[in-house]
Amino acid sequence: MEKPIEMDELQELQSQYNILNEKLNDQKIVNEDLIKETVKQNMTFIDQYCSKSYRQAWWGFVLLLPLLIYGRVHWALILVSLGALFAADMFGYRAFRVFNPKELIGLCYVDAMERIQKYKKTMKRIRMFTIAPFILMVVLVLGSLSDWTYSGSTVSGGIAGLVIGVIYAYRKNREFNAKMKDILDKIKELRGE
Amino acid sequence: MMNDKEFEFTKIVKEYKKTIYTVCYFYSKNSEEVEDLYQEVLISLWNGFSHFRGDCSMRTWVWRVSLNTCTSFERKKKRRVATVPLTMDIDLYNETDVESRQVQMLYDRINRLDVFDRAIILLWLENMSYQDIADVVGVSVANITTRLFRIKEQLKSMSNK
Repeated sequence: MEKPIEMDELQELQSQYNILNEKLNDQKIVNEDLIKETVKQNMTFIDQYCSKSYRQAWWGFVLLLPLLIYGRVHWALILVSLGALFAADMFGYRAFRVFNPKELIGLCYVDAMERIQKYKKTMKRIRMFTIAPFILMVVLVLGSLSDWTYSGSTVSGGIAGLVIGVIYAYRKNREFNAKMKDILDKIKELRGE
Repeated sequence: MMNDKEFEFTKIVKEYKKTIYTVCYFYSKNSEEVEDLYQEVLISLWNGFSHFRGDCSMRTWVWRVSLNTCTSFERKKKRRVATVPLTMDIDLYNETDVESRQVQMLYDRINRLDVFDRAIILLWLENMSYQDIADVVGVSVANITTRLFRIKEQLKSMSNK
């Protein structure tokens, strides 16, 4: 039997790509409705996501507030948490300005990727910054509920949940850092640094 | 009635519709995601259109915007409510004829590359010069040459597996 002609990997890819191109040539793809809808929209998902994500912590606080009142946590601690949230909000806004989706989209690929990674890193830090007072408050609420003995099934269940949550967050964070390091290393390699 | 900016934008979208589709296709998992991404790229292009100063060619700019949007798009987000379906009568993910299978093979191989290599190979497949690829990606021509050689090696090891 005749051996098939060995094709260079890139040539083979090119011939497959040509098939894709031919298929797409026969397609209209865009229509007037799509263009009209596009012109009407002034925000991409990226804009929306970036402009709101750092505000999500406030919702956490609003949800936790009844519990804080019920648990009679000292008002000074609530103020400290509010302060932390406010600071995180300001940092978030700053990160969003640095990220600036409208400018980002026109950058060359490597610069855009680097900016996205920096943004994600800042957001991660902000999230950790906002989570810390929450953890403290949950611990205080649980303490107050058990008359500072930290006993009882509800309280130990709450503490167990908190510990699992912290371990999960720690592992996720480690994964995130490894992934980010890979991308940043690749950027360095591509730039020949 | 379309104004001048809209008219110009429509012309560009129609000219580069295939380019935009190709990038969305290779950065998505299914047809629904392609539709969302396609619209996302169009909105990015529309928003950036008035800021385009001509420091690079329109082709380079469209590639940059498409790649940057596809990379930063959050897949975990819900579908865009007002996604307008694309005018297509093929489904490149699910068709089973011989040609579509070839396209799916291409998709599988390119998707096993990381995001940077995926971008570089797509630009190379578009028959762009090394200089143009370097302009879109933002690295030197020498680095593009080295990268392409490594991509070729990766593809070879993929076909040997």
